[in-house]
Amino acid sequence: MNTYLQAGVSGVMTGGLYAVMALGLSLTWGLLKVINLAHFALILGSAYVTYQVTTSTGADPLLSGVIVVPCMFAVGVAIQWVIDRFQVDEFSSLLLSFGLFIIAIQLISNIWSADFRQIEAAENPYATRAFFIGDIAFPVPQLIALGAALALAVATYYVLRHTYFGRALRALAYDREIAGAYGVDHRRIGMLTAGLASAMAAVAGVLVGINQPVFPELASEWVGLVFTVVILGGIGNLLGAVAAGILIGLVYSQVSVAWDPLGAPLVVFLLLILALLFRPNGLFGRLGGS
Amino acid sequence: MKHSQLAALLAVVAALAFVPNLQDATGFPAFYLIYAYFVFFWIAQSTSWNILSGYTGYFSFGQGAFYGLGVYTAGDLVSREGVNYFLTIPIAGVVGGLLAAGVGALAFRLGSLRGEIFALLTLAVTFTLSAIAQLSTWVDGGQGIPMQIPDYPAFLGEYQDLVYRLGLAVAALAVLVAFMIQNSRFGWGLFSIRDEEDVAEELGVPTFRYKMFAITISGSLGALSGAVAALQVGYLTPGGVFNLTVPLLVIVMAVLGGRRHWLGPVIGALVIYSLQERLTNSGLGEWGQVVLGAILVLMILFAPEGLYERIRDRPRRAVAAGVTLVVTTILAGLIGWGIATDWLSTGLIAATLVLLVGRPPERVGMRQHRRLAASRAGGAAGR
Repeated sequence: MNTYLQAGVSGVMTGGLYAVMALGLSLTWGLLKVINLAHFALILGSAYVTYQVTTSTGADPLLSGVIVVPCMFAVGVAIQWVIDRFQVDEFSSLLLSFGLFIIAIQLISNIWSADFRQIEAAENPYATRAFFIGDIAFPVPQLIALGAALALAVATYYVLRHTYFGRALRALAYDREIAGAYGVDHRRIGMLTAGLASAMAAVAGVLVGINQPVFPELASEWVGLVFTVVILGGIGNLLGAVAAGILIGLVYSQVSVAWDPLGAPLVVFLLLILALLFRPNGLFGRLGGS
Repeated sequence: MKHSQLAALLAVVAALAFVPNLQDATGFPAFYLIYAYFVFFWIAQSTSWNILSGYTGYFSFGQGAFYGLGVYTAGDLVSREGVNYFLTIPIAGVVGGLLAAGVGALAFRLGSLRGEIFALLTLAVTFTLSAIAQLSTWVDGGQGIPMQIPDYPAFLGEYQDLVYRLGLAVAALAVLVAFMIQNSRFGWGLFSIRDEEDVAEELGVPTFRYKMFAITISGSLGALSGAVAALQVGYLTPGGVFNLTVPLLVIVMAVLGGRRHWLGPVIGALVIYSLQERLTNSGLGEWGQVVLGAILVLMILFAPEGLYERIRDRPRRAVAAGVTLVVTTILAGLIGWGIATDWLSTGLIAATLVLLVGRPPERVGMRQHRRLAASRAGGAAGR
């Protein structure tokens, strides 16, 4: 019984990491109509930078967020500028960002090689720490990830609901023409949103960096999982993404324990297919709470 | 026009089929046959993709699923069950068609299915097949399968001749099918789905049936080509077969060549494969993906119509590109830059650049569209 319970706890917390990865993707897809495959490359790139900064300087790995978050914000703004300048539609954005994804992954592979890279345990104060309740372990890095997912989702929800920026963004998502007529500047709002989404990718990258070894293929492994989270959560629904992330984490861990670790991706991908076909608006609806 | 194109196509295929026979007389290295085989392979794959995605506008990220299914069908049946290799090729075609029909039956039933959801769905199908191959000991089980070299009748010549001719046959079949679809009522129906599906449906185009035919043909051709590719793969692993390389390359090839004409993917496959080879031979292989990604990005932004339409719409530029191709190829040869395929690659890359540099051909409505977009952007700024 404890095996299942421990797997469940780990699953929920791994799900928190998937949720952080899914937040930015869901935000730009739901509100800007941009499907940003490059998001996965930004996450991986941030994880590598975290590894590099920590390994070179011996600083606390979370501190590298000070570097990667603003950098990724700028990258996100730049990508959105191009998409806006060339009026790339929702579908072409998928192809465009696929190109960027391929470029970024190859560059990462050229710089850091295809081998596994992991922050040395001596320099990673979070790696081996865990809380215990009874026999059940709560590893600290994953707790941080889950906390970050919840905090980011709630903060974004608040911003979307209660600030001018959030209301303008939602207005744009519903009807760009009318929002424009009321003086909403779609360029500035779009770039800010894309920047925030990419900053979330940077946060996810730092969390990946303290959680696990990184290698270039990792980004492709995330694609299926994270898209499942985004679709199940409802595109643009960030609270839904956190719930779906936890759900997917649970399913993954329980299938791994009860059946076969190799069977877990299969079940998740089947879920993705079912979700795409029958619940393309997710379990909780799109753009929840608005 | 149609008949002369068809005759030219058949003549080219017939001529290519005799190339291996010239090897004894001229003594060119077998390497060129392998090179040509890979060009054929990519022509078959990108044409297969284009019949579904270029003609109907439903973009697929799932070419790897059809390809991988073909590779594993041939690999498993030959190496594990001892089935005659030549039987496994048509079996792969049927299996690929069935998978595609299954995906289509699920996806196209839903009227509300949008393009990007379809694209993700095809990607998910690829991941699912990969996971099944990892998991099922009947398919692979994660150990990998060494592909056995099959027995074949002696009159088919050397092994590389066999691979070359099989590759040519599948590529020719794919291109012929794409040609015939484009010049048929069925093809017009597919194009109308791409341009305006709801209107097409209203006007009586049986959109569901047409999309089902398109995806089935596409999947079948992709798997046929995969079954032939199994001969060249050597050792099959789920990760090696079901990765993103095949979908990436076919998309780049078709986007570069042009998605609205059967010749587009052929041109794209030739140029992209040559470019990849050229980079590898120059010791820049690890930059290959960067270049591919950059081509995809730049084409989407600046020339989404592709090379074929540039050639068709700008005859003088096309002649200039043709001259560049010949001159650069000969120059590269005179300098002695690598081997003959490198000369050709250099010429092809130069000609592609000649075609792509400069403003796109202005189409009716384009300027109007731009003005409208500009006024919208200005209005939205609201200042």
